[in-house]
Amino acid sequence: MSDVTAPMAGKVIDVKVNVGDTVNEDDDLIILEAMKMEMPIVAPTSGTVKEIKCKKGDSVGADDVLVVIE
Amino acid sequence: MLEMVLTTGVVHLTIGNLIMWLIAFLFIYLAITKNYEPLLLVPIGFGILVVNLPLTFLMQEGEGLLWKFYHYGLEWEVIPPLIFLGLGALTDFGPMIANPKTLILGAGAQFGVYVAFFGALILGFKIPEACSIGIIGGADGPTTIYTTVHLAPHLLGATAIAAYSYMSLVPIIQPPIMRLLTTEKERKIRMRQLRPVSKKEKILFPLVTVMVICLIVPASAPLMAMFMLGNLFKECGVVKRLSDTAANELMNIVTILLGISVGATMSAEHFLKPQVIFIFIMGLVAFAFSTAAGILLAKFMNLFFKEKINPLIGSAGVSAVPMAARVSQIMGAKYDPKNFLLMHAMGPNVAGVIGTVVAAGVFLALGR
Amino acid sequence: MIDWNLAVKIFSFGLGAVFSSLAILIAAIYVFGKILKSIEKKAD
Repeated sequence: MSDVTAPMAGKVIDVKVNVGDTVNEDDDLIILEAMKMEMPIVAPTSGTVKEIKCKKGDSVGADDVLVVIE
Repeated sequence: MLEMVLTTGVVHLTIGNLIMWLIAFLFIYLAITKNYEPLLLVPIGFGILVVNLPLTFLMQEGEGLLWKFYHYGLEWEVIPPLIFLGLGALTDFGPMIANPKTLILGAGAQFGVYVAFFGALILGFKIPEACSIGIIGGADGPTTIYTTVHLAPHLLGATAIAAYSYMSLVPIIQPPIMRLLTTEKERKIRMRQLRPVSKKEKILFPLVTVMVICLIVPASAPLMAMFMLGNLFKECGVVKRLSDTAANELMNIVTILLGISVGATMSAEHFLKPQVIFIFIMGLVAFAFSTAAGILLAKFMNLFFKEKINPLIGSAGVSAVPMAARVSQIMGAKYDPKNFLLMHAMGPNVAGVIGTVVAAGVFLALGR
Repeated sequence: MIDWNLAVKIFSFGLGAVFSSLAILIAAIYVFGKILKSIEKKAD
């Protein structure tokens, strides 16, 4: 099980996965915007998306958990 | 009849005017279709166009409308410091306070300023002119304008355009240099997440900085004072109205006046000289050396620090905020998609602005 | 004629000022960070 956290404060502009999806390492999970720049947050490992803790439009802080992968 | 014809502008047109029209149209075209610094290129392009309409006397000393904007806005030093006020209100110094040693990268990336300074001297420019050309390498538009107006006002159009065009070309100029000077392993260095910075630290920062910098280089005070006042507005939290105005409405107003004034200095007889080409070449040289110096300094620092710095953030020491930091992020993510350098690169990036202002202060004090 | 003495002076003084002012700023940030921390500890 691993938590995917926000590397920096920003705004979630897209959630690319749903709970239950199988993802491979380096697949895009979330698109985060900071400094007017879009950055994909990728899966740290392969696995199943267990929980999504943010939604489109949310403002998140650094280290907030965004997605839980099992 | 002949008299009437002579009062029209048409018969007074020169080839130079026509060339400047083309440049004006090119700027406006690039701004509209390519979204290339539109906030500046639209007013600059229009300014170029109208000063190259003969007999309008828009730049007539003491009389012309645009001359008044130029004189009271730029020669009286009002506009660039007001832009710095707005930049201060937009800048978050948090990443820099969290990891202060990255500040040194902002100093290293001023190296190109001096390469271009000596380059310009060798090409035959006088010292005040070489100072104005060198400062292009700092990649800071308002500072370049401020310095040039003081030291070599006849070069203003060229240095301002060079600074702003290279700033928007940062994503093209920097990556090849970054690849050349780093190994793949270095590009993949991950940096520890920055610690959160308290509000108190953020409030103290502008106060301490304005004292430190102005005590060392008093000539940098007009830009530095406004920069830090804007930042204090933002961080203190009790004058949201003032910080919003500085960052938005006031910034927009002075951008209009700045753009049209810079454009207005570019009449054919002032702008179309071979030295303008040299200015553009030296500007590019300055940018390249600043980028390289920032990266090499980061690698040098890695020899001493246990916690390694990713050298890709060194190039962000050129003060084009936040373009240079974005380039570091994009390059880093290309080699390791789980690596986030953006915030780490913001440290040297905003430090670069301070470094460029200090360099300009020394030019202003000694370069006359 | 270019006054190369002045040019070298501008260069050395300029680069020196850039590095020293940013170095002093780094020191200042560390110092006021420490002071703030110690004040906060006393308050606790």
